[in-house]
Amino acid sequence: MGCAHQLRRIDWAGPCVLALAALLLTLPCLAAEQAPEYGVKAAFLLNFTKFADWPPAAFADGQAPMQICLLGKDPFGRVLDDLVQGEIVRGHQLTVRRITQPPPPQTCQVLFIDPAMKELRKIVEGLPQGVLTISEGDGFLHNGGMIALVIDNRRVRFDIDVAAVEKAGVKLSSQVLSVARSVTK
Amino acid sequence: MRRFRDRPIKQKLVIITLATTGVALVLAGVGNVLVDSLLFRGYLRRDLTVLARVIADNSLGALSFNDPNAAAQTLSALKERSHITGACIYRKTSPEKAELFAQYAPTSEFSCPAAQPGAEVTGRGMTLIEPIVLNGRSIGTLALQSDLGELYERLRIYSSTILGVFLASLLLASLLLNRLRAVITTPIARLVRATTHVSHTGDYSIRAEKLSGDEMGLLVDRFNDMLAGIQSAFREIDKQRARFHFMAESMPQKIFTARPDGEIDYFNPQWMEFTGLSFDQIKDWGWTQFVHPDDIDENMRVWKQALEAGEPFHFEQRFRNAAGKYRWHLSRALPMRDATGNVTMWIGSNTDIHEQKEREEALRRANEDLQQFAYSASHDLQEPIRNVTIYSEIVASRYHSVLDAEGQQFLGFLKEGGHRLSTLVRDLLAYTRASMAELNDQPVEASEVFRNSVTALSEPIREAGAVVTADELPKVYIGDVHLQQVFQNLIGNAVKYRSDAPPRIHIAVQPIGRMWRFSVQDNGIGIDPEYKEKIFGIFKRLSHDNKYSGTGIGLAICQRVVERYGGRIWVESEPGTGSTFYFTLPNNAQTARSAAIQSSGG
Amino acid sequence: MAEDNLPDALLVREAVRAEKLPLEIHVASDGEQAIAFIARADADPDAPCPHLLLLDLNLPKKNGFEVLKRLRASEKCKDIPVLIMTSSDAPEDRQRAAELGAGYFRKPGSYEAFLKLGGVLKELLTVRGTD
Repeated sequence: MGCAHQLRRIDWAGPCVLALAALLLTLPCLAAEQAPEYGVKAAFLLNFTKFADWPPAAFADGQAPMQICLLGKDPFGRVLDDLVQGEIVRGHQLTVRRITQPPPPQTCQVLFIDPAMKELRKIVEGLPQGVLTISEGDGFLHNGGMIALVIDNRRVRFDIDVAAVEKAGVKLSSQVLSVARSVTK
Repeated sequence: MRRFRDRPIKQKLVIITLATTGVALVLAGVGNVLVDSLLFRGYLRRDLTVLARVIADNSLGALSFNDPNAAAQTLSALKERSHITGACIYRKTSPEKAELFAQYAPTSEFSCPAAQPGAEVTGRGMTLIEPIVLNGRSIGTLALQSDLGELYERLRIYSSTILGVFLASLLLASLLLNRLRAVITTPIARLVRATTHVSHTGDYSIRAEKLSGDEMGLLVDRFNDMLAGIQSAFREIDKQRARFHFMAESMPQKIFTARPDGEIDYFNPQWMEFTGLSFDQIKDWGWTQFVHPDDIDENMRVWKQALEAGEPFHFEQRFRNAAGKYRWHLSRALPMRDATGNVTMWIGSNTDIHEQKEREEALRRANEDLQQFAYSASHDLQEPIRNVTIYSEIVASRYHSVLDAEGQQFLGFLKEGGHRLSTLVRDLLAYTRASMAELNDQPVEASEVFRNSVTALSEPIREAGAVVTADELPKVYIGDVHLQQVFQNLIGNAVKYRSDAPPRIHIAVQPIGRMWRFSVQDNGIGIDPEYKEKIFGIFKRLSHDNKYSGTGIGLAICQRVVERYGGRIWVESEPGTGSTFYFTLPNNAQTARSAAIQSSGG
Repeated sequence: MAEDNLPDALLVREAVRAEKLPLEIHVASDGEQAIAFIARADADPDAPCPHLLLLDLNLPKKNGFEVLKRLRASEKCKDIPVLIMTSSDAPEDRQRAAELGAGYFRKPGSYEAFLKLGGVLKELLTVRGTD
C-alpha cells in the first residue's frame, strides 16, 4: 500500500533523486507485490503436479525427472525454482526448464505458456500426449488449453478444461477440480 | 437386624442364591458394559479417524490452492453427522506455525482455537487431530471434534438391556429356587418338627422320616437311632423301677428311701400299713412323730451324723404303730453314690425286732437274776464254809490228842473238803462278779492296767525270777477291773506254769480290723494241743497234782470277760517251748456296747 | 465287835487270846445293837466308847457302813479306831472303808491267817496310843 502512495510523488526533478531513491526502495516492495501473485501461481504450478496423474508414456522411465517447462517469458523467476527445489512427485524429480521459442521439447510434462505467445492454438495442438498445459487468462481455454490461471476477486484462481486434460491422457484429482473456479467438460 | 446366621435356612438359601446370581450377573453386566464402551470408544475413534482422513483428503485441494471457501464447504458436509460438534482446518504457514483456515461450528458452543491445538484430546467428547498431507508433506492439520452422544446412547441401551436381563435372570432364578429349595429345606423342616414334637411331648416312640440320601438323611438315621436308644434306656429304667417297687413292696420289712438331705421320699406299703397313715402324712420328716419320745433325740442325732458323714446308719428305736403300741425296730440305711462319689440317695429298712428284743430282755433279766442269785449265794456261802474250815483246823490242832488215827484222818478229810469248798466258792464269786460288773464306755489305758497287774503279781514274779515285758499298749473299750482280771490271770498262769528256765513273758498287741489282738507269750511248759479249748472250761484243770495251785477257773474268767466285750480268746502252744495266749478286744465303743448287749443274754 | 456270826466272833476271841491282848470284848449281833451302843455312849457321859470297834459289814438290820457312819457322827466316839472285818473282797468295799477312815481285814480261810488279826489289833491299839 505504501508503494502506491509513493508513485504519485514523482513531480519534480530535484526530488527526482528522492523519487528514484524512493522508487528503488519500493522496488523490493513491488517485487514483493508482484512476487506474491507469481509466488502463488508458482505454488499452484507445483500443486498441479501433485494433483495430476500422467500416463506412463509421458516419462522415459520411472526415474525420469518431471519437467515443468516455461515457454516464452518467464514471469516466475527464481520463485519457481526455489519452490520446485528438491520436490519429488511420484518418484519423479521436478525440474524447471525454460524455452524461449517453440516448439517445446517432448520431455515436458507441464508446459506453462506465456500468454503473449503467438499462435497459441497451433502450439497447443502440436503438443504430444501427456502434457499439461497451463497459462494465464480467460482465453487460454478457448485455445485448447487445459488450465488457465486467473485473478478473481483479488485472488488467484483457475479454470480447467477437463476434456482437454483427458484428451491429453492426464488425469486430474477431483480435489483440484473442486477448487477450480470453473470446470469445463 | 437379625444376624444372617440366625435366619431360617429357607431365607438363607434364597439370599445366598440370589446374591451369588446377582453378583455374577452384575459383574458380567458391568464387565460387558465396560468392555463394550471401551471397544465402542475405539470404534468411534476409528470412525472419526476415517472421517478425518476423508475430510483431510477432501481438503487437500482447498488447502493447497488456498481456497478457504472450498474447505469450508467440504467441512459443511459434516452436518450430516450429528455427532460431530466441530471441525477446524489449519494451514501450515511455516514449519512451526499453522493458522486457522476453515472451520465447521454447528453450535455456538464450539469455536476453533486460533492456533492448532495440541495433540491431546481436549474438551468434551473426542477430538481428533489429523495432518493433511500432500505428496508426503504436511500442509495443514484437521481437528475434528465429536461428542460422545453415540457412546452414551449405546451405553444407555446396553445398560438397560443388561438391567432387564439381570432382573429377568433374578426372577427366573428365584422361581427356580422356589421349586428346588424344597429339596433341601423340606427334610430339614421335617426333622425339626420331629425333634420339637419329641421334646414337647416326651414321646420317644416316634421316628423321623428319611427323605433324602444325603447328609440330612444320615442325620435322620442317627436321630432315629438316638431315639431308639433313649426309648430302650427308658424302658430299662421303668423295668428297674418296677423291679425295685415290687421288691420293696413284697418285703415284710419296711423300706424307705431318702434324699441326700435326709428327707424321706419313699415308704413301701408296709410303712403305711404299720402307721395307718398315707404317704403324704409321713414323708420328709413326718416319720419322727412315731418314734418313742425316749429314743427320738438319739435317733435324730445318729441319723444326722450318718447323713453328714455319708456312713451307714444303724439304730434301734421304738416306733408307734397304728394301734398306738410301741414296737422295737432295727433301722439301717446305706448311702448310694454316683460316679463322682457324691451321695445321691439313702436306702434303708426298718425291721420289727420287738419280739426278739423282748425275748432278749427277758433272757437278760433272767440271767441277771441268776447271776445276782449266784453272787449273793456264793457270798453267803463263804461264811459257813469258812467256819467249817477254820474250826476243823482248830479242832485238829486243839483236840489232836483225843482223836485216834482214823479220827484224825476223817478230820483231815473235813479240813481238806472245807478248803476246797472255800476256794471253789471264792472262784465262783469272782466269776459271777466278772459277769456282773458295770460296763463303762470310756476306754481304758491297757498299759496302765498292765502295770497294775504286774504290781499285784509282784510277789510271784519276784519269786520266780520272771521278766515281764510289754509293747506299747493302746486304749481299749473294756472295764479296767476286767482287763486287770484278764492280765492278772494270764500273766499269773504264765508265771505259775513255768519251765525250769526263768520265765520270760511278753505282751504284744496288733490291730486287726476293728479289734486289738493282744498276745501273752511265755516260755513255760506249754499245753498239749488236744486240750487247747478245754482249758477255758470252768473248773477244768489239766494237771491234777498239787504242784500248781489254783482251781482252773482263771481262764474261764478271762474267756467270760473277753467275750462279754465282743472279743475272743484262744491259745497257741507247743509243749516244752511255751504258750501264747491271744485275746481280742474292740477298739471302739459301738462294738463293745453291742457285744455287751448281746452277751448279757449268756 | 459287831458280828452276827458266832463262830467268827469266837475266832476273834481266839486271836485276841493268842496275842494276849488285855481286851474286853463286847459283841453286838446286829447293826441296830451296835448303833444303840454308840448312842448310849453319846447320851450318857458315863457310858464309855469302845477303844476299838471291829465291824462286820454283813450285819442284819443295819449294815457295817451305816454303823460306821453313825460312829463317825458321834461326838464322843468318832475318833476311835475301826477295823472292818469282812469276807468280802470287793474293791468298792475296801475303798469305802478307806474313805471312812477304817482299816480293812478280810476274814481269811485258814485258822493260822485268822490269828494274824491279833497282830493287826495290837498295831491299831498301839498306834492310837492306848494300851
